[in-house]
Amino acid sequence: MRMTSATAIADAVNSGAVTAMSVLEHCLSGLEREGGRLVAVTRLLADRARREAEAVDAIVAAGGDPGPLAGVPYGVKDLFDVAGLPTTAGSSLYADAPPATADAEAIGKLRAAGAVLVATLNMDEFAYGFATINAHHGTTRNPHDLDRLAGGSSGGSAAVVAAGLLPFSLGSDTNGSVRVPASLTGIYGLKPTHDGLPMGGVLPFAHSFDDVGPFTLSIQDMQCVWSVLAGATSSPRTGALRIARLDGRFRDNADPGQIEAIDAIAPDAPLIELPDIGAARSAAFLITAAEGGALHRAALARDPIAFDPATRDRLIAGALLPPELYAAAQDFKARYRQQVNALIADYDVLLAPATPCVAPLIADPRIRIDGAWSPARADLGIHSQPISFTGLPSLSVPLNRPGKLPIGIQLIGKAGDEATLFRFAAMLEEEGRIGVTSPAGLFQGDSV
Amino acid sequence: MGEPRIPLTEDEALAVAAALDLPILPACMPGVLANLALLDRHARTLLAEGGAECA
Repeated sequence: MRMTSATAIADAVNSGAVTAMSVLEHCLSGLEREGGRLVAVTRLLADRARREAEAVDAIVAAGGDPGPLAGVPYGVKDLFDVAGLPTTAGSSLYADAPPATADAEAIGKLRAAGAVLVATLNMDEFAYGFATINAHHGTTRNPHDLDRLAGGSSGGSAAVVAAGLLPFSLGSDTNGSVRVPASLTGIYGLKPTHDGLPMGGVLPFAHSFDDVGPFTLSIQDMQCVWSVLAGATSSPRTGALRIARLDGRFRDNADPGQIEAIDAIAPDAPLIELPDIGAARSAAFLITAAEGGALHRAALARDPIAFDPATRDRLIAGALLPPELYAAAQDFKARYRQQVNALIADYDVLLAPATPCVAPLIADPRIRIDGAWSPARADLGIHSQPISFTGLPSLSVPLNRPGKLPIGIQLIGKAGDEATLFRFAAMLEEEGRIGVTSPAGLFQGDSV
Repeated sequence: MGEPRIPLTEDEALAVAAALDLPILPACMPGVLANLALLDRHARTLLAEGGAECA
């Protein structure tokens, strides 16, 4: 059974056609059978999931409505609080920490909508990276080619959905940690408007940019999960949408397939250049380093050996940044957001690559940026990081290109206007320009 | 006011870390210095291209 549609599963459970428990048991067997070779699952929560599925089935049996995600199994990145378990953020450092006393707020909202939490999922330690190369759990594999990276830092969350093992999952996106793996594994991934979705009970990384973000296999599912998490529905802009294509560094460092697709989607849309894009990315880099370093400083002093060495050295360096530089980067951010909001006032959706390339090989995790080789772990977010800096919502959508490695583009909207992004994406999905391709030769089964 | 200095040598890094009560193990130093050099490049980009100023 491939877990391909959250809304279809919910409809089937709500109508009594299948039970939440039977969906869950199929899901658990898939994760047990296939999850290992993806190196995507950090903890399988079978007992808890059975209790939640049982509760959903009891509501249906009593003639009640369990909610829009009735009986839909899902997983969360390893940094969400799960009641009764330590929150480890992909690290061995907190393996023996006191268990969380409550679920993260997002998990509570999903449970209230009938969803069933099944697993916690692999990530770059403390979310510091774009590759899900984890010294403790291992490197998450891309379901489209097990020799390639799934991207990160929410790589486990992306891989299980792309493989059809779960219909949706949650990650977190600071500088691209949902959009990068969504692009490399060929699924949908949302960075909401900054602070638009509940962050309570999610271990922070860099609070200036941290957000919860869902992964799904269709835009309908994305809209459903987003509505549950946001606690609201909203209306998209009506009439013809005003589209622009981002130029400059975005097009200079793109896969030819992305440029071709963007130009085909909006051939007459103006090419616009965000100002000072290099400075914006640098400011984001500095703010992230400083906030991450400050957050983990006490643990770095207490037990540096327990950290992944690559993460540790980056965090220590961040902790040593002069406070004046952090303040200057924050000042620049405030001015930059005003400037960008004015620039894009006349557009509803901006189009840009989500990653500069397809998934790099695990054996050679490097990418080409501005003509030079660069580490994938640090630089796969070259196109997502400057958008995080603006605080605008950005939806990574998979280009429809069966037979090729997946890659995505970003649909970037105005603050608070996710609904218009969903409307535009649904149109592109209907036209066949975007959509998910199942991994060939892997994870075969019957679709739900 | 002049640009704030990011520590770029082992001595500079150890001095700033000591003020923060943050010991740096010898094995970490090469990685820390490499990351500080990267952050220094980003700081220069921000101050030069972005016109940012440090108060």
